Amino acid sequence: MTSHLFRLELRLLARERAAWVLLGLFAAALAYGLWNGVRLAHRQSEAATALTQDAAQFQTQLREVLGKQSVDPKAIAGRGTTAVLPAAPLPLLATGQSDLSPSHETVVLWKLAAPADTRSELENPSHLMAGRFDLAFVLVWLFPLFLLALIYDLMAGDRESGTLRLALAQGIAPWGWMARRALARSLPMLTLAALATLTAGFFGGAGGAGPRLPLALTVVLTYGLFWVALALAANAIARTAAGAATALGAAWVLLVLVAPTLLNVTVETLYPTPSRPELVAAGRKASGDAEKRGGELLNSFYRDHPELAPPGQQADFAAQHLTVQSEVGRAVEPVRQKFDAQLARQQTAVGQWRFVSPAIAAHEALTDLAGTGYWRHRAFREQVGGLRQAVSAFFTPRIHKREPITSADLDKLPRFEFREEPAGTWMGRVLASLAGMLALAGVLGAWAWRSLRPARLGRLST
Amino acid sequence: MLETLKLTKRFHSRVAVNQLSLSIKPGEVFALLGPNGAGKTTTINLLLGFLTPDEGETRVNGASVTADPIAARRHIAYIPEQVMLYPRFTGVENLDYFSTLGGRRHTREELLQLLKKAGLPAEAADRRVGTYSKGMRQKVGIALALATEAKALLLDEPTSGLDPAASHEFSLLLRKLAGQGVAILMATHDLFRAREDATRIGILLDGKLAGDYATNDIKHVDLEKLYLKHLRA
Repeated sequence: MTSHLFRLELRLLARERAAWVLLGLFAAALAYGLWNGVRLAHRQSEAATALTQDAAQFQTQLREVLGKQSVDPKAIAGRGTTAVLPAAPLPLLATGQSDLSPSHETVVLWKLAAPADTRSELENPSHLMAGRFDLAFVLVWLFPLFLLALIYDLMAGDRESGTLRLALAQGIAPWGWMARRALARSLPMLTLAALATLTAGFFGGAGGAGPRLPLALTVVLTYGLFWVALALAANAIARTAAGAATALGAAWVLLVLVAPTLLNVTVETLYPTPSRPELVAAGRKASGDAEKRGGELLNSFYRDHPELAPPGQQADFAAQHLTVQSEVGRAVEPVRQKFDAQLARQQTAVGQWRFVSPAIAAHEALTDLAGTGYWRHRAFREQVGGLRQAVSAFFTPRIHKREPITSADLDKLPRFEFREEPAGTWMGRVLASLAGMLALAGVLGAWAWRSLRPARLGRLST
Repeated sequence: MLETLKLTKRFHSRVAVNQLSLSIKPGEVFALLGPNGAGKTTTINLLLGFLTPDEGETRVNGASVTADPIAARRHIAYIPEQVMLYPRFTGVENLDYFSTLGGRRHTREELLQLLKKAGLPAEAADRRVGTYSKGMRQKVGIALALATEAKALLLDEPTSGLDPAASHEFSLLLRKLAGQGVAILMATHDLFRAREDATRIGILLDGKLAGDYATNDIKHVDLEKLYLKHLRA
C-alpha cells in the first residue's frame, strides 16, 4: 500500500514540467561543480607530482655526487627541502582550503624567516564558508533551494485547491501521508545529490578514502533530510502555498546566507587576527634593524646568493645572514604566533557554533571528509614548521663550523613526510556535525508531527 | 449508522450548530435543507471530524468521531460541492490515489469498473482530470465512495451547478447506494432534489433542527410551503 502510494506520488511529480526543469538545472550545477573539482584537483596533483619528482631527482643526483666527494652545506641548503601535502582523500567533493592554503612548500635555509604561507590573509571564515563553485557549494548552498522548490507546497497547495479535504476524508493520518509525500517528492533530488557524491568519490580517489565516502553520503542525505523536515513543518502551519514558499525561502536565507555570515563576523570580532601588513611590517622592521648592524646592501645580495660571496668570506656572509635571520625570526614570532593562534580560535569557534546552521555543519563535515578542511591544512603548516626547525638544526651548525656534507650525512638530511590527523579526530568532528543535523531535523520533524496529529484536523482542513 | 447527539458548535459568540440530534439509518437518505449559514456544512465538518464539537457527540457506525476521527472516517465517504482532484492525474489515477489513501487497493480493471458504475464514460477514465467537467468530477467522487465501500455518505451540495441530466444521473446513483444499505446525509438547497432523492428531510435553521419529515408524507408543493413557513417563523 505504502509503496503504491509512493509510486503514485512520483508519477504525479513526473507530470510537472517544472520538476523536470529543476532536476535538469540541479544535475547541471552538480556536473559543473564536479568539473571544477576535477580541474583543481588535476592542477594540484600535477604540481605535487612535479615537485616530488624534482625532489627525488635531486636526491639521486646528490647521492651520486656525495659518493664521489663532500659538498658545501650552503649549496644543499640553498636548494631547499620540499614538503608536499599528499592529495586529499576526496578532492572532488570540496575545494575547502586547498585553493587558499598552499599544498606544498620548499623550505630554504636562507628564507626561514619569511612567512610560510604568503596567502594566509585570505584564510578567514568567510572564505571557508563561501568557497568556489565546487560540489560542496552546490550541495550546501543550492541543493536546499532545488529541494525546497519541489516540496514547498506538500500540503498548502492541496489546502488551497481543495484536494486536502477529500484526502483527509479518506481516513488517513495526515503525518503519515505528508511524510510519505515529502520523501517521494524529494527522492529525485536526494538521488541526484547522492549520485554526485558517489561520483566525486569514485572518480576522485575513493579507493584510499576508507569510511570517508559512506560518511559523506550520510552527511549529504542527512542535510537533505533536515530541509525535508523543515518543509514538512512549514506546510503544517502555512495556510497557503505562497505562505509556505515565503517561510521556506526566508529560512534558506537565514540558515544558508545570514547565519554563516553572522558567525564569521562574530568570530572575527571575538578573535581578530593581526593584520597582514602588521606581520610584514614587523618582519621588515626586525630585518632592517638587524641588517643595519652589517653591510646592508652587500649582505642583502649575499643573503640570497651566499655561493657568490668571495672565497673565504662565504661562511662569514652565510653565518651573518643566519644570525640576522634568527634575530628576525625571534622578533616576528610573537606576531606570527598571535596570527596563527587567532586563526585557530576562529576556526574552533566556527566548529563549536556550527550547529546554529546545518549549512555550516554540513560544509565543515564535507571539507573534513574531503581532506581539504582547515585542520588538515593547519596540520600541514605545523609540520612544515617542524621541517623548518629540522633544516635549521641540520644546516646551521655545519655552516658555522664550515663542515662539509658527506655521504654519511645523506640519510640525516631533513625530509618531509606528512602525518595525517588521526582518523578518530576528524571522524569525531564529522559525527558531531551529523548528530547536530539529525537533532535539528528531529526537532522539526517532531514539530511537524505534532502539528499534523489527528486532533488538529480541523485547523488543517478548514 | 450516522448519529449526532445534542451536537453544539460555536464560533466565538455565534452558535453554528445548536443541540442537534440526528440519526440516519442504513439505506436512509437524509436531506438537510436550510438557508446559507444555517449550519449544514458545519454539521458535515463535525461528522468528518474536521471540527471538534463544543458539546455533544458524533458517531459513525458506532465509532466516536471525536475520540478517533481517523477510524470513524474509514466508514465515511465524502463528496463535497466541488470534488477537487489532481488535474495532472487521469480519472482512474485519481481514484487509485484517493482509494489507496483510504487503505483500499484496487486493480486497474476494478477501478475502471467503479468509474463505469459511477457513470463516467469509458473514454474519459484515462483522460487527465484537468479536462473534466464538474459533473465528471462528481462521478469520480461517487466512484471513490463505491471504492471505499463506505457505510455512510456525506454530500455537501452535490448537485449544485450540475445540469439537469447530470443531476438526474447523480440521483440514480444515490438511490443505488442507498439500496446497498449506505446511510446518506445530503446538505442541499435544492428542494426538488431533496424531495426526489431523500427518504427524510430535515430543515435546519440557525443550527437547530426546525423540522424532520418523511418524504413519503409530503408533496413537492407542500415541502416548499413548509420550508418557507419555517424560514418566516
